Amino acid sequence: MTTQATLVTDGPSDTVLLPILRWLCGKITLAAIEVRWADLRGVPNPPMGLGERLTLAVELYPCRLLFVHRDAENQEPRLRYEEIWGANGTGCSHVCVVPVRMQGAWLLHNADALRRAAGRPSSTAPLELPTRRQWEALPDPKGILHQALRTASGATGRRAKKFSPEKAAHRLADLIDDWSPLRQLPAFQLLEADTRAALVALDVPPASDFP
Amino acid sequence: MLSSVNNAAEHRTLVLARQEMMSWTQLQLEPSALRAPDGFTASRSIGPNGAHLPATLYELAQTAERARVGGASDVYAQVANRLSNLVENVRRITVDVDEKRNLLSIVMTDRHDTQHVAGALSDGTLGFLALTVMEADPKSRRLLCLEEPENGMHPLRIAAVMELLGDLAVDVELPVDHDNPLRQVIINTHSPSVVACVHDGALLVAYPIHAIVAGVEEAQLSVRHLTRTWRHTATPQVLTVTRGDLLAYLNPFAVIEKTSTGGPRVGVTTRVMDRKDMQMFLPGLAAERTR
Repeated sequence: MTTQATLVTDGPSDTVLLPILRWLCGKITLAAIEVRWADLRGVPNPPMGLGERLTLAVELYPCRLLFVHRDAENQEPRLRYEEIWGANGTGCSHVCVVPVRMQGAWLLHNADALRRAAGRPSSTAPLELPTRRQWEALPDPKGILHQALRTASGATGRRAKKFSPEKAAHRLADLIDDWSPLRQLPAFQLLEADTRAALVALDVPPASDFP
Repeated sequence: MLSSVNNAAEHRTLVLARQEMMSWTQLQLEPSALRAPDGFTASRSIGPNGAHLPATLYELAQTAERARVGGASDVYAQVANRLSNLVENVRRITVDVDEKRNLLSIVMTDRHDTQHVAGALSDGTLGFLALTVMEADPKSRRLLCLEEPENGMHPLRIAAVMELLGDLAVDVELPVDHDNPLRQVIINTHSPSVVACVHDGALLVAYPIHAIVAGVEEAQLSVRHLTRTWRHTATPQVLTVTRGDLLAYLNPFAVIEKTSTGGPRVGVTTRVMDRKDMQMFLPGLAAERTR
Protein backbone atom coordinates (compact mmCIF):
# COMPACT_ATOMS: atom_id res chain seq x y z
CA MET A 1 0.00 0.00 0.00
CA THR A 2 1.35 3.44 -0.91
CA THR A 3 1.93 5.81 1.99
CA GLN A 4 0.75 9.26 1.00
CA ALA A 5 2.50 12.31 2.36
CA THR A 6 1.53 15.95 1.78
CA LEU A 7 3.97 18.84 1.73
CA VAL A 8 2.68 22.21 2.93
CA THR A 9 4.96 25.13 2.11
CA ASP A 10 5.16 28.83 2.73
CA GLY A 11 4.76 29.45 -0.99
CA PRO A 12 4.93 27.90 -4.49
CA SER A 13 8.65 28.61 -4.88
CA ASP A 14 9.34 26.24 -1.97
CA THR A 15 8.18 23.28 -4.04
CA VAL A 16 11.89 22.83 -4.78
CA LEU A 17 11.64 20.74 -1.62
CA LEU A 18 9.66 18.02 -3.41
CA PRO A 19 12.54 16.31 -5.22
CA ILE A 20 14.60 16.54 -2.02
CA LEU A 21 11.92 14.90 0.12
CA ARG A 22 11.25 12.24 -2.49
CA TRP A 23 14.96 11.43 -2.61
CA LEU A 24 15.14 11.28 1.18
CA CYS A 25 12.09 9.05 1.51
CA GLY A 26 13.40 6.79 -1.22
CA LYS A 27 16.62 6.36 0.74
CA ILE A 28 14.95 5.77 4.10
CA THR A 29 12.51 3.13 2.91
CA LEU A 30 11.93 0.82 -0.02
CA ALA A 31 8.16 0.89 0.58
CA ALA A 32 5.97 2.86 -1.81
CA ILE A 33 5.71 6.53 -0.82
CA GLU A 34 3.98 9.35 -2.62
CA VAL A 35 4.86 12.93 -1.67
CA ARG A 36 2.55 15.59 -3.07
CA TRP A 37 2.46 19.33 -2.67
CA ALA A 38 -0.68 20.88 -1.19
CA ASP A 39 -1.49 23.42 -3.89
CA LEU A 40 -4.02 25.68 -2.22
CA ARG A 41 -3.91 28.38 -4.86
CA GLY A 42 -7.12 27.19 -6.51
CA VAL A 43 -9.15 27.81 -3.35
CA PRO A 44 -10.92 31.18 -3.34
CA ASN A 45 -9.98 33.10 -0.17
CA PRO A 46 -7.36 30.62 1.00
CA PRO A 47 -6.61 30.75 4.73
CA MET A 48 -3.55 32.60 5.88
CA GLY A 49 -2.85 31.00 9.25
CA LEU A 50 -0.66 27.91 9.38
CA GLY A 51 -3.18 25.88 11.40
CA GLU A 52 -5.98 26.53 8.92
CA ARG A 53 -3.71 25.81 5.98
CA LEU A 54 -2.73 22.46 7.48
CA THR A 55 -6.37 21.57 8.04
CA LEU A 56 -7.27 22.50 4.47
CA ALA A 57 -4.25 20.62 3.11
CA VAL A 58 -5.25 17.40 4.85
CA GLU A 59 -8.83 17.85 3.69
CA LEU A 60 -7.91 18.37 0.03
CA TYR A 61 -4.83 16.14 -0.11
CA PRO A 62 -5.51 13.35 2.37
CA CYS A 63 -2.39 11.73 3.73
CA ARG A 64 -0.83 9.76 6.57
CA LEU A 65 2.04 12.20 7.01
CA LEU A 66 2.45 15.95 6.66
CA PHE A 67 5.73 17.60 5.74
CA VAL A 68 5.36 21.14 7.03
CA HIS A 69 7.80 23.68 5.67
CA ARG A 70 8.60 26.93 7.38
CA ASP A 71 11.85 28.64 6.52
CA ALA A 72 13.90 29.55 9.58
CA GLU A 73 14.71 32.96 8.06
CA ASN A 74 16.54 34.85 10.79
CA GLN A 75 14.96 33.00 13.69
CA GLU A 76 16.09 30.04 15.71
CA PRO A 77 14.74 26.93 13.95
CA ARG A 78 13.43 25.76 17.35
CA LEU A 79 10.82 28.54 17.26
CA ARG A 80 9.52 27.28 13.92
CA TYR A 81 9.30 23.76 15.30
CA GLU A 82 7.23 25.03 18.20
CA GLU A 83 5.02 27.01 15.84
CA ILE A 84 4.32 23.94 13.71
CA TRP A 85 3.63 21.73 16.73
CA GLY A 86 1.17 24.29 18.04
CA ALA A 87 -0.55 24.75 14.70
CA ASN A 88 -1.13 21.12 13.73
CA GLY A 89 -4.59 20.23 14.94
CA THR A 90 -5.28 17.84 12.09
CA GLY A 91 -4.58 14.61 13.92
CA CYS A 92 -2.16 13.70 11.15
CA SER A 93 1.48 13.23 12.16
CA HIS A 94 3.97 15.69 10.76
CA VAL A 95 7.64 16.24 10.04
CA CYS A 96 8.96 19.79 10.34
CA VAL A 97 10.97 20.99 7.36
CA VAL A 98 12.88 24.00 8.61
CA PRO A 99 15.89 24.70 6.41
CA VAL A 100 18.31 27.43 7.27
CA ARG A 101 18.75 29.70 4.25
CA MET A 102 17.08 27.05 2.15
CA GLN A 103 16.98 28.26 -1.37
CA GLY A 104 20.65 29.02 -1.29
CA ALA A 105 21.97 26.41 1.06
CA TRP A 106 20.20 23.40 -0.37
CA LEU A 107 20.57 24.19 -4.07
CA LEU A 108 24.14 25.38 -4.42
CA HIS A 109 26.01 22.09 -4.15
CA ASN A 110 25.94 20.98 -7.78
CA ALA A 111 27.57 23.38 -10.22
CA ASP A 112 26.99 21.12 -13.25
CA ALA A 113 23.27 20.93 -12.59
CA LEU A 114 23.19 24.67 -12.01
CA ARG A 115 24.80 25.34 -15.40
CA ARG A 116 22.38 22.94 -17.09
CA ALA A 117 19.38 24.54 -15.37
CA ALA A 118 20.63 27.90 -16.62
CA GLY A 119 20.79 26.53 -20.18
CA ARG A 120 24.56 26.63 -20.58
CA PRO A 121 26.08 23.30 -19.52
CA SER A 122 29.17 23.88 -21.68
CA SER A 123 30.17 27.08 -19.94
CA THR A 124 33.30 27.26 -17.83
CA ALA A 125 32.81 30.84 -16.66
CA PRO A 126 33.53 31.07 -12.94
CA LEU A 127 30.40 31.02 -10.80
CA GLU A 128 31.98 31.90 -7.45
CA LEU A 129 29.61 29.68 -5.55
CA PRO A 130 29.90 29.79 -1.76
CA THR A 131 31.66 26.89 -0.10
CA ARG A 132 29.81 24.29 1.92
CA ARG A 133 30.78 25.93 5.19
CA GLN A 134 29.22 29.17 4.05
CA TRP A 135 25.89 27.72 2.93
CA GLU A 136 23.92 28.17 6.12
CA ALA A 137 25.37 31.60 6.85
CA LEU A 138 24.54 33.34 3.59
CA PRO A 139 22.85 36.72 4.08
CA ASP A 140 20.72 36.49 0.94
CA PRO A 141 20.77 32.89 -0.29
CA LYS A 142 17.93 33.28 -2.76
CA GLY A 143 19.63 36.32 -4.27
CA ILE A 144 22.93 34.46 -4.52
CA LEU A 145 21.26 31.48 -6.16
CA HIS A 146 19.40 33.64 -8.67
CA GLN A 147 22.53 35.60 -9.49
CA ALA A 148 24.52 32.39 -9.95
CA LEU A 149 21.84 31.14 -12.35
CA ARG A 150 21.87 34.40 -14.29
CA THR A 151 25.66 34.36 -14.51
CA ALA A 152 25.65 30.73 -15.59
CA SER A 153 23.08 31.46 -18.30
CA GLY A 154 25.30 34.03 -20.01
CA ALA A 155 22.11 35.43 -21.49
CA THR A 156 22.05 38.86 -23.09
CA GLY A 157 19.43 41.01 -24.77
CA ARG A 158 16.02 39.38 -25.06
CA ARG A 159 17.30 36.07 -23.73
CA ALA A 160 18.26 37.85 -20.53
CA LYS A 161 14.84 39.47 -20.33
CA LYS A 162 13.13 36.10 -20.80
CA PHE A 163 15.35 34.30 -18.31
CA SER A 164 13.49 33.43 -15.14
CA PRO A 165 15.73 32.53 -12.19
CA GLU A 166 12.70 31.24 -10.29
CA LYS A 167 11.92 28.72 -13.02
CA ALA A 168 15.60 27.88 -13.34
CA ALA A 169 15.76 27.17 -9.59
CA HIS A 170 12.90 24.69 -9.95
CA ARG A 171 14.61 23.12 -12.94
CA LEU A 172 17.81 22.88 -10.88
CA ALA A 173 16.00 20.92 -8.17
CA ASP A 174 14.60 18.60 -10.84
CA LEU A 175 18.01 17.97 -12.37
CA ILE A 176 19.77 16.92 -9.19
CA ASP A 177 19.67 13.19 -8.52
CA ASP A 178 21.95 13.04 -5.53
CA TRP A 179 21.19 15.16 -2.49
CA SER A 180 23.68 13.43 -0.22
CA PRO A 181 25.88 16.56 0.11
CA LEU A 182 23.05 18.01 2.20
CA ARG A 183 23.52 15.31 4.84
CA GLN A 184 26.33 17.39 6.27
CA LEU A 185 24.00 20.24 7.13
CA PRO A 186 22.53 20.22 10.65
CA ALA A 187 19.08 21.28 9.42
CA PHE A 188 19.00 18.40 6.94
CA GLN A 189 20.26 15.94 9.52
CA LEU A 190 17.33 16.88 11.72
CA LEU A 191 14.91 16.47 8.80
CA GLU A 192 16.35 13.06 8.05
CA ALA A 193 16.10 11.88 11.66
CA ASP A 194 12.53 13.17 12.01
CA THR A 195 11.43 11.58 8.73
CA ARG A 196 12.95 8.27 9.71
CA ALA A 197 11.17 8.35 13.06
CA ALA A 198 7.86 9.36 11.51
CA LEU A 199 7.92 6.55 8.97
CA VAL A 200 8.79 4.00 11.63
CA ALA A 201 5.86 5.27 13.71
CA LEU A 202 3.62 4.68 10.69
CA ASP A 203 4.93 1.12 10.38
CA VAL A 204 6.68 1.88 7.12
CA PRO A 205 9.62 -0.54 7.00
CA PRO A 206 13.02 1.16 6.77
CA ALA A 207 15.66 0.26 4.21
CA SER A 208 18.75 -1.15 5.84
CA ASP A 209 21.44 0.28 3.57
CA PHE A 210 21.06 4.03 4.19
CA PRO A 211 22.93 4.57 7.45
CA MET B 1 -4.84 40.90 -57.99
CA LEU B 2 -1.98 40.00 -55.66
CA SER B 3 -1.51 36.59 -57.23
CA SER B 4 -1.00 38.07 -60.69
CA VAL B 5 1.51 40.72 -59.68
CA ASN B 6 5.04 39.79 -60.56
CA ASN B 7 6.79 42.91 -61.70
CA ALA B 8 8.54 44.33 -58.68
CA ALA B 9 9.61 47.43 -60.53
CA GLU B 10 6.04 48.42 -61.27
CA HIS B 11 4.29 47.09 -58.20
CA ARG B 12 6.91 46.89 -55.49
CA THR B 13 4.53 47.33 -52.58
CA LEU B 14 2.16 44.69 -53.87
CA VAL B 15 5.00 42.22 -54.45
CA LEU B 16 6.27 42.83 -50.94
CA ALA B 17 2.77 42.42 -49.56
CA ARG B 18 2.38 39.12 -51.38
CA GLN B 19 5.73 37.86 -50.12
CA GLU B 20 4.75 38.80 -46.60
CA MET B 21 1.37 37.08 -46.85
CA MET B 22 2.97 33.94 -48.27
CA SER B 23 4.93 33.66 -45.03
CA TRP B 24 1.75 33.60 -42.96
CA THR B 25 1.54 30.17 -41.49
CA GLN B 26 -1.37 28.44 -39.92
CA LEU B 27 0.15 25.89 -37.63
CA GLN B 28 -1.79 22.61 -37.71
CA LEU B 29 0.44 20.12 -36.03
CA GLU B 30 -0.02 16.56 -37.20
CA PRO B 31 1.29 13.80 -34.97
CA SER B 32 2.66 11.75 -37.88
CA ALA B 33 4.62 14.73 -39.20
CA LEU B 34 5.89 15.59 -35.71
CA ARG B 35 7.11 12.04 -35.17
CA ALA B 36 8.78 11.57 -38.54
CA PRO B 37 12.60 11.42 -38.67
CA ASP B 38 14.38 13.57 -41.24
CA GLY B 39 16.93 12.79 -43.89
CA PHE B 40 20.19 14.71 -43.76
CA THR B 41 19.06 17.07 -46.52
CA ALA B 42 15.62 17.84 -45.10
CA SER B 43 14.42 21.39 -44.66
CA ARG B 44 15.78 23.14 -41.59
CA SER B 45 12.54 24.91 -40.71
CA ILE B 46 9.51 23.46 -38.99
CA GLY B 47 6.63 23.19 -41.45
CA PRO B 48 3.00 24.14 -40.80
CA ASN B 49 2.18 20.53 -39.96
CA GLY B 50 5.13 20.19 -37.60
CA ALA B 51 7.41 18.42 -40.05
CA HIS B 52 11.19 18.74 -39.86
CA LEU B 53 11.41 19.05 -36.11
CA PRO B 54 14.59 16.90 -35.91
CA ALA B 55 16.37 18.67 -38.79
CA THR B 56 15.50 22.12 -37.44
CA LEU B 57 16.70 21.36 -33.94
CA TYR B 58 19.82 19.66 -35.27
CA GLU B 59 20.71 22.68 -37.36
CA LEU B 60 20.24 25.03 -34.39
CA ALA B 61 22.56 22.84 -32.35
CA GLN B 62 25.18 22.56 -35.08
CA THR B 63 25.13 26.29 -35.73
CA ALA B 64 25.74 26.92 -32.04
CA GLU B 65 28.51 24.32 -31.98
CA ARG B 66 30.28 26.02 -34.90
CA ALA B 67 30.11 29.32 -33.02
CA ARG B 68 31.45 27.85 -29.80
CA VAL B 69 32.54 24.40 -28.62
CA GLY B 70 29.76 23.06 -26.43
CA GLY B 71 27.16 25.22 -28.14
CA ALA B 72 25.12 22.20 -29.21
CA SER B 73 24.73 20.93 -25.65
CA ASP B 74 23.63 24.43 -24.63
CA VAL B 75 20.91 24.49 -27.29
CA TYR B 76 19.65 21.07 -26.25
CA ALA B 77 19.69 22.11 -22.57
CA GLN B 78 17.73 25.28 -23.28
CA VAL B 79 15.11 23.37 -25.26
CA ALA B 80 14.80 20.70 -22.55
CA ASN B 81 14.53 23.35 -19.83
CA ARG B 82 11.78 25.16 -21.72
CA LEU B 83 9.93 21.93 -22.49
CA SER B 84 10.07 20.93 -18.82
CA ASN B 85 7.81 23.93 -18.05
CA LEU B 86 5.13 22.24 -20.12
CA VAL B 87 5.74 18.52 -19.77
CA GLU B 88 6.70 16.39 -16.79
CA ASN B 89 9.76 14.22 -16.56
CA VAL B 90 11.95 15.73 -19.26
CA ARG B 91 15.62 15.42 -18.48
CA ARG B 92 17.28 15.80 -21.88
CA ILE B 93 16.39 16.36 -25.54
CA THR B 94 18.83 15.48 -28.30
CA VAL B 95 18.82 14.66 -31.97
CA ASP B 96 20.13 11.23 -32.78
CA VAL B 97 22.25 11.05 -35.95
CA ASP B 98 22.04 7.70 -37.74
CA GLU B 99 24.95 7.82 -40.22
CA LYS B 100 24.10 4.45 -41.70
CA ARG B 101 20.53 5.32 -42.65
CA ASN B 102 21.13 9.07 -43.01
CA LEU B 103 18.43 9.86 -40.51
CA LEU B 104 17.97 12.52 -37.84
CA SER B 105 15.49 11.77 -35.06
CA ILE B 106 14.41 13.25 -31.76
CA VAL B 107 15.31 11.41 -28.56
CA MET B 108 14.04 12.38 -25.12
CA THR B 109 15.67 11.13 -21.92
CA ASP B 110 13.61 11.14 -18.76
CA ARG B 111 14.73 11.57 -15.14
CA HIS B 112 15.28 7.82 -14.82
CA ASP B 113 17.72 7.94 -17.77
CA THR B 114 15.29 6.05 -19.98
CA GLN B 115 15.43 7.13 -23.60
CA HIS B 116 12.24 7.64 -25.58
CA VAL B 117 12.25 7.92 -29.36
CA ALA B 118 9.88 10.37 -31.02
CA GLY B 119 7.50 7.57 -31.91
CA ALA B 120 6.94 6.89 -28.21
CA LEU B 121 6.24 10.48 -27.20
CA SER B 122 2.71 11.80 -26.87
CA ASP B 123 1.17 14.16 -29.42
CA GLY B 124 1.07 16.88 -26.79
CA THR B 125 4.75 16.53 -25.89
CA LEU B 126 5.80 16.67 -29.52
CA GLY B 127 3.57 19.65 -30.15
CA PHE B 128 5.11 21.55 -27.25
CA LEU B 129 8.56 20.55 -28.45
CA ALA B 130 7.78 21.96 -31.89
CA LEU B 131 6.72 25.29 -30.36
CA THR B 132 9.81 25.33 -28.16
CA VAL B 133 12.12 24.74 -31.11
CA MET B 134 10.31 27.40 -33.14
CA GLU B 135 10.84 29.85 -30.31
CA ALA B 136 14.56 29.06 -30.32
CA ASP B 137 14.88 29.32 -34.13
CA PRO B 138 15.89 32.83 -35.23
CA LYS B 139 15.35 31.90 -38.91
CA SER B 140 11.64 31.66 -38.34
CA ARG B 141 10.32 35.15 -39.09
CA ARG B 142 6.67 34.92 -39.88
CA LEU B 143 3.11 35.45 -38.84
CA LEU B 144 2.04 32.34 -37.05
CA CYS B 145 -1.62 31.44 -36.62
CA LEU B 146 -2.71 28.84 -34.14
CA GLU B 147 -6.21 27.61 -33.34
CA GLU B 148 -7.26 26.99 -29.77
CA PRO B 149 -3.86 26.22 -28.25
CA GLU B 150 -5.69 25.24 -25.05
CA ASN B 151 -6.97 21.99 -26.56
CA GLY B 152 -5.71 18.90 -24.83
CA MET B 153 -4.03 20.93 -22.12
CA HIS B 154 -4.24 20.74 -18.34
CA PRO B 155 -5.52 24.07 -16.99
CA LEU B 156 -2.39 24.61 -14.92
CA ARG B 157 -0.22 24.38 -18.04
CA ILE B 158 -2.05 27.02 -19.96
CA ALA B 159 -0.14 29.94 -18.47
CA ALA B 160 3.16 28.30 -19.46
CA VAL B 161 2.00 27.82 -23.04
CA MET B 162 0.77 31.39 -23.23
CA GLU B 163 4.15 32.55 -22.01
CA LEU B 164 5.84 30.47 -24.72
CA LEU B 165 3.58 31.92 -27.39
CA GLY B 166 4.33 35.40 -26.08
CA ASP B 167 8.05 34.64 -26.26
CA LEU B 168 7.60 33.40 -29.82
CA ALA B 169 6.34 36.83 -30.80
CA VAL B 170 8.72 39.75 -31.21
CA ASP B 171 9.31 41.94 -28.17
CA VAL B 172 8.36 45.38 -29.42
CA GLU B 173 10.33 47.08 -26.67
CA LEU B 174 13.64 45.69 -27.91
CA PRO B 175 15.42 46.00 -31.27
CA VAL B 176 14.82 43.25 -33.81
CA ASP B 177 17.88 41.00 -33.86
CA HIS B 178 19.05 37.41 -33.70
CA ASP B 179 17.49 36.93 -30.26
CA ASN B 180 14.39 38.93 -31.09
CA PRO B 181 13.30 37.96 -34.60
CA LEU B 182 10.36 39.68 -36.20
CA ARG B 183 7.46 37.34 -35.56
CA GLN B 184 3.82 37.76 -34.78
CA VAL B 185 1.49 35.19 -33.29
CA ILE B 186 -2.27 35.16 -33.68
CA ILE B 187 -4.40 32.64 -31.83
CA ASN B 188 -8.08 32.14 -31.42
CA THR B 189 -9.56 30.75 -28.24
CA HIS B 190 -12.67 29.89 -26.30
CA SER B 191 -10.80 29.19 -23.11
CA PRO B 192 -11.44 31.24 -19.96
CA SER B 193 -7.87 30.51 -18.84
CA VAL B 194 -6.36 31.84 -22.06
CA VAL B 195 -8.52 34.97 -21.93
CA ALA B 196 -7.44 35.56 -18.35
CA CYS B 197 -3.73 35.07 -19.20
CA VAL B 198 -3.27 37.18 -22.33
CA HIS B 199 -2.09 40.74 -22.01
CA ASP B 200 -5.01 43.11 -22.24
CA GLY B 201 -3.54 44.91 -25.24
CA ALA B 202 -3.40 41.63 -27.13
CA LEU B 203 -7.05 40.68 -26.64
CA LEU B 204 -9.59 41.17 -29.39
CA VAL B 205 -13.11 39.90 -28.90
CA ALA B 206 -15.13 38.97 -31.94
CA TYR B 207 -18.83 38.57 -31.48
CA PRO B 208 -21.99 38.92 -33.44
CA ILE B 209 -24.06 41.98 -32.77
CA HIS B 210 -27.45 42.97 -33.94
CA ALA B 211 -27.34 46.52 -35.10
CA ILE B 212 -30.20 48.58 -36.35
CA VAL B 213 -29.04 50.56 -39.34
CA ALA B 214 -31.45 52.81 -41.16
CA GLY B 215 -34.30 51.04 -39.46
CA VAL B 216 -33.14 47.61 -40.63
CA GLU B 217 -31.76 44.97 -38.33
CA GLU B 218 -28.40 43.68 -39.46
CA ALA B 219 -26.23 40.91 -38.13
CA GLN B 220 -22.65 42.06 -37.98
CA LEU B 221 -19.41 40.66 -36.70
CA SER B 222 -17.73 43.14 -34.44
CA VAL B 223 -14.11 42.92 -33.34
CA ARG B 224 -13.48 45.00 -30.26
CA HIS B 225 -10.64 45.66 -27.86
CA LEU B 226 -10.45 46.62 -24.19
CA THR B 227 -10.29 50.16 -22.88
CA ARG B 228 -7.02 51.57 -21.56
CA THR B 229 -4.94 49.71 -24.13
CA TRP B 230 -2.78 50.96 -26.97
CA ARG B 231 -5.51 50.06 -29.45
CA HIS B 232 -8.00 52.23 -27.63
CA THR B 233 -5.52 55.09 -27.54
CA ALA B 234 -4.93 54.68 -31.26
CA THR B 235 -8.62 54.44 -32.19
CA PRO B 236 -10.69 56.00 -29.41
CA GLN B 237 -13.76 56.21 -31.59
CA VAL B 238 -14.04 52.43 -31.96
CA LEU B 239 -16.51 50.72 -29.64
CA THR B 240 -14.79 48.69 -26.95
CA VAL B 241 -15.42 45.34 -25.28
CA THR B 242 -17.45 45.77 -22.16
CA ARG B 243 -16.43 44.02 -18.98
CA GLY B 244 -19.86 42.46 -18.94
CA ASP B 245 -19.00 40.73 -22.21
CA LEU B 246 -16.04 39.09 -20.53
CA LEU B 247 -17.88 37.86 -17.44
CA ALA B 248 -18.64 34.46 -18.93
CA TYR B 249 -14.94 33.99 -19.54
CA LEU B 250 -13.69 35.30 -16.24
CA ASN B 251 -16.19 33.47 -14.08
CA PRO B 252 -17.66 30.69 -16.23
CA PHE B 253 -19.25 28.77 -13.40
CA ALA B 254 -21.27 31.67 -12.11
CA VAL B 255 -23.26 31.95 -15.33
CA ILE B 256 -24.16 28.28 -15.47
CA GLU B 257 -27.60 27.72 -13.99
CA LYS B 258 -27.34 26.17 -10.59
CA THR B 259 -29.41 23.25 -9.51
CA SER B 260 -29.99 22.49 -5.85
CA THR B 261 -26.83 21.59 -4.04
CA GLY B 262 -26.77 17.98 -3.16
CA GLY B 263 -24.72 14.89 -2.65
CA PRO B 264 -22.54 13.14 -2.55
CA ARG B 265 -24.91 10.44 -1.54
CA VAL B 266 -24.26 6.89 -2.48
CA GLY B 267 -26.16 5.88 -5.59
CA VAL B 268 -27.15 9.45 -6.48
CA THR B 269 -25.19 11.32 -9.13
CA THR B 270 -24.98 15.05 -9.32
CA ARG B 271 -23.08 17.54 -11.43
CA VAL B 272 -19.54 18.04 -10.18
CA MET B 273 -20.16 21.75 -9.60
CA ASP B 274 -23.28 21.02 -7.53
CA ARG B 275 -21.55 18.74 -5.04
CA LYS B 276 -21.61 20.16 -1.56
CA ASP B 277 -17.96 19.30 -0.99
CA MET B 278 -16.95 21.27 -4.13
CA GLN B 279 -18.68 24.52 -3.18
CA MET B 280 -15.63 25.89 -1.48
CA PHE B 281 -13.79 26.04 -4.82
CA LEU B 282 -16.32 27.93 -6.82
CA PRO B 283 -15.72 31.66 -6.87
CA GLY B 284 -18.62 34.03 -6.55
CA LEU B 285 -20.71 31.62 -4.56
CA ALA B 286 -21.20 31.41 -0.82
CA ALA B 287 -18.15 29.44 0.30
CA GLU B 288 -19.11 27.16 3.13
CA ARG B 289 -16.31 24.84 3.83
CA THR B 290 -17.28 21.39 4.91
CA ARG B 291 -15.24 20.07 7.76
